Amino acid sequence: MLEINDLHVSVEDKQILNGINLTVNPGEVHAIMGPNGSGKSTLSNVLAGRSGYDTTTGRIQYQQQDLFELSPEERAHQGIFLAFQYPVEIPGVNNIYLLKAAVNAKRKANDEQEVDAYEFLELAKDKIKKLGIDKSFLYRDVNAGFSGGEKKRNEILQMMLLEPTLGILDETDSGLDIDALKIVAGGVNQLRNKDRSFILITHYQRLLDYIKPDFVHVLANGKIIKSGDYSLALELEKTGYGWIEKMEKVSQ
Amino acid sequence: MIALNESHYREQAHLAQAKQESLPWLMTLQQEALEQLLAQGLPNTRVEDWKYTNLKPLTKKLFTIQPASEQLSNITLPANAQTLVFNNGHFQQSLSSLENTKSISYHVLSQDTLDIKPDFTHELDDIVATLNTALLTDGLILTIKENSIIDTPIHIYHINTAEQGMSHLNHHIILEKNSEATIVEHHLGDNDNNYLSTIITNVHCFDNAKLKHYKIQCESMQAYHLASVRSRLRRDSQLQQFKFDFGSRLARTNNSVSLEQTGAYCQLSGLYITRKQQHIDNHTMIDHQVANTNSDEFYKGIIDDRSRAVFNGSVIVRKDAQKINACQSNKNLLLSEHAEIDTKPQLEIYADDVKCTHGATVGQLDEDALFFLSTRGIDKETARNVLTFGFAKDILQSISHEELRLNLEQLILAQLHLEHEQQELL
Ligand SMILES: Nc1ncnc2c1ncn2[C@@H]1O[C@H](COP(=O)(O)OP(=O)(O)OP(=O)(O)O)[C@@H](O)[C@H]1O
Ligand SMILES: [Mg+2]
Repeated sequence: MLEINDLHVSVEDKQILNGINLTVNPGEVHAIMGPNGSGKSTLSNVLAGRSGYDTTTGRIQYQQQDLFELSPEERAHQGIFLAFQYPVEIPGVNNIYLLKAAVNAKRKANDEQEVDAYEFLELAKDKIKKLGIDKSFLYRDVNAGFSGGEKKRNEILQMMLLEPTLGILDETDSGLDIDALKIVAGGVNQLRNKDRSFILITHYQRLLDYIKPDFVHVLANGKIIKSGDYSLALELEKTGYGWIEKMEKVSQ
Repeated sequence: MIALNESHYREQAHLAQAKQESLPWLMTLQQEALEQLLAQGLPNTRVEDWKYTNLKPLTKKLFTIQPASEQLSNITLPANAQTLVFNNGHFQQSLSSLENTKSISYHVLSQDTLDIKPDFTHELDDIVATLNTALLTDGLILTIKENSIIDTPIHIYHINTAEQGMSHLNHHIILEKNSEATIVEHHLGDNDNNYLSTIITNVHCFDNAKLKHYKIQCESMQAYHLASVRSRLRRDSQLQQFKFDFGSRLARTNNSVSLEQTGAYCQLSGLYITRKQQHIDNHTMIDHQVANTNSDEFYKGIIDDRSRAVFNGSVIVRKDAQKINACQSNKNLLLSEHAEIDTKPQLEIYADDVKCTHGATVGQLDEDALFFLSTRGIDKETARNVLTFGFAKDILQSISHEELRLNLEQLILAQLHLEHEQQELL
């Protein structure tokens, strides 16, 4: 589904990603962990199509297409979803209409019947109940005045409604209380199936207790320096990143 | 100064005066205004108050006073509303539905029977007023009687339909003690006609009166619109003013409020949306003449293409005018690198027990928000329009009259070219 080859990315002449290789097959869940500033959000932004990044070398294939040929909105229409590490506030724009517009933009692009206001409300009500979100959320401006945890839940609400093919969650677990973490993980697990894949960026093994990943990768200095299964997350939790980074230097 | 074509303006002033034959005092004043206008000419951009607004283009065409047109194309007046209609600067009785009652009385200058004399003492004080007075085509004196509460808005339509025409109106709106009303001034023009429209609105709020005053400027995109609004507020009276600028090639408003007696309060809200080559200039002045008077001022601007907007907001607090609260803010959104805004707060404070805040901002659309919307599948143009509307929207929040608010919302959406499906985002 997604194949990243030797991806080098820089911002304003600063090299951030130094040759990422990653293959995500349908149905897989990949966790990416790594120290602050190692390039995790940069990778997710590049996948979602944010401008301002120079891809110096490397390529990304998504569903047999060159990802760089697609605009951010086309990527969204084709099932890429990014839950932001820092969700933006949009004063003046109503949350429910954003959600409905997003759902309908995707449906329209895929020649599917758009949902009307009534159908959408039913759909949204069902999801917010599952996420333990208050109904009043729908009628507030997008993220304006939301607490940190509420913003994260709102991102997951968007994901539940958009039912992505590739969901990228950038530290969605940071700032969530234990109950919210379980709810969010529940949302992801519900969406999990043999065709849908996830990339979970996280600092905490705790999230991975709830969403069992197929692979765990360590990203440091813009490179994936170690990959393994769930047990790698357990090891990192105990020992931190120091030992892997040291090994990486030795091998160089 | 910018000289005016003397023979042309003498001829036009003569035409204008002929209309006021039954009001000799007015004819005399008009003559005086004409001489002053010709002697002074229009101010050029070396005059500080006109630094950013060049009136030179106004002299490139010889505008003429035109009769009212037989029918008003393109414009549908609301049914079941209280209306007063002026076309090409002349009152149109047949199109106006407002009636004189125990609570409301109105007169127009062009009626032969005018038996009251409005206050014209300040009509030569500034250049817009001088020009307006010299060429005056008509005017309204509207009085809301003591203790009358008028719930339905009174709409005053000013419709310009003549290419190269000009209209000059002078209105007096008087709210007697304890009265309340909502008055909506509309300024409309046909297509892309090039014309000159000047208008002075004098507002008097007597003790404890409450006025909601809307001014919605939708002149043609080639029109010149020069306006003065002067509001005087007596004891415990309240003025809520909503000013919208959407049309005109060049528009300038001198908007002054005098808080003359204790307890007076004004709230000025404004929104200008400028595109193409438009030039919109708002000069406001709030004068706290006595103690215990408050003001809030909140103007927003959206400036696109090669257009230019000017906001100059001055607040004066006179000596011994203590216990004053004055808030001013002007926020601007620049949508194009060729667009320009000149914003300037101007505070003159001569008292010490004063709380005065002011702030001006100029920003662009939030790139993070644009990216966020695009990752949710929303196309770039819609995303831009939606964020722009989000910026403008809060100006509508203090409009309590639902129908007016919805109409204004539609107007703003149309200005921002928001199609129906995009509107659903809001
Ligand atoms: N637009 C930018 N301009 C300059 N530097 C940038 C820019 N974006 C990212 N960087 C730098 O790139 C590096 C990687 O940033 P990134 O946000 O991808 O880290 P991260 O792995 O997500 O970190 P965290 O765990 O703290 O979220 C950082 O050093 C950051 O300062
Ligand atoms: Mg990050």
